[in-house]
Amino acid sequence: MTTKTSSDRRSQAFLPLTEATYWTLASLATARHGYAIMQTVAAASGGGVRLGPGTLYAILAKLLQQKLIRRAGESVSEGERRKEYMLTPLGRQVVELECERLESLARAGRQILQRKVRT
Amino acid sequence: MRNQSGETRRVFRAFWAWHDDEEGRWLVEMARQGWHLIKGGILYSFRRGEPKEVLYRLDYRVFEDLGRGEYLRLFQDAGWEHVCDFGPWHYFRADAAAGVSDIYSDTHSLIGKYRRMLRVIALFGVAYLIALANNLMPDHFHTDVIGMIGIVLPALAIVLVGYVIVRLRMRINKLKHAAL
Repeated sequence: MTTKTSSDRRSQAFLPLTEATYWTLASLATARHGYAIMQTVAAASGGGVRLGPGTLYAILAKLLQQKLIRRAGESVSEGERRKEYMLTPLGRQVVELECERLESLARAGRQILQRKVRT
Repeated sequence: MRNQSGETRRVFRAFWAWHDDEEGRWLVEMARQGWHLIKGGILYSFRRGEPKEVLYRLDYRVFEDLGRGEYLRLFQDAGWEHVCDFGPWHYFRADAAAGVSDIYSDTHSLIGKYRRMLRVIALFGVAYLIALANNLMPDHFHTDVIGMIGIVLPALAIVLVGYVIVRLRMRINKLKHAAL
């Protein structure tokens, strides 16, 4: 049994993430603007997850307030300015903990299912 | 007299806050008949054009936390044209054939929209309660017509606010239930 550090406990308080928040955080390992987040998530999920603008806007506002992401300048393409965002160290820790949580959830679920089949 | 182009039409219509989907469907129907929204909310204006299959969505935000520019940019990038605002209501339109994703892609954030309405209406409720309590104070209390108005009006407003709160809560509960 490993003892949890206080920063672990702090990150733990944000879990579980909604699926949309999970995808948004994961996509912000590199600095991206809102539309790039939508495109990255759609591509990474094989088109299965399409974030709506109202949903993404609410998530970005909340994550900024929780300091899980920070502003990361602007990108300019074809004369259009778009604000970019990026994970903070806390945000990275939160999304990594969520990955672990989901992995252990999937592992445990699979074990139970297999046991049921054998007996 | 009818102009060939640029003809506009005004329509008076009121929707309850929790009937925003119905309002959207009505606007879709108007667009099918060639009436395209210019200005929304109670006194609507429409411009005559070709009948078109479109989608309408209404968002509710009192403050654009990240700034209005970023808010509208995100919707525009996602394929939603910003048509107009009516107070905290933001009207968006998209081509029905464009395959845009809905403005709220999960129940959690959709519930957030109705929670924001709830917070605003609750503030009104508190204000009316304070007004009513103030007018009922012995040193403010009058039995004349003005005094009665000062009690009846806030009391009616509180009943209305109560009704809106109950209906919004029902809307939220229905969404929560559907998500389980």
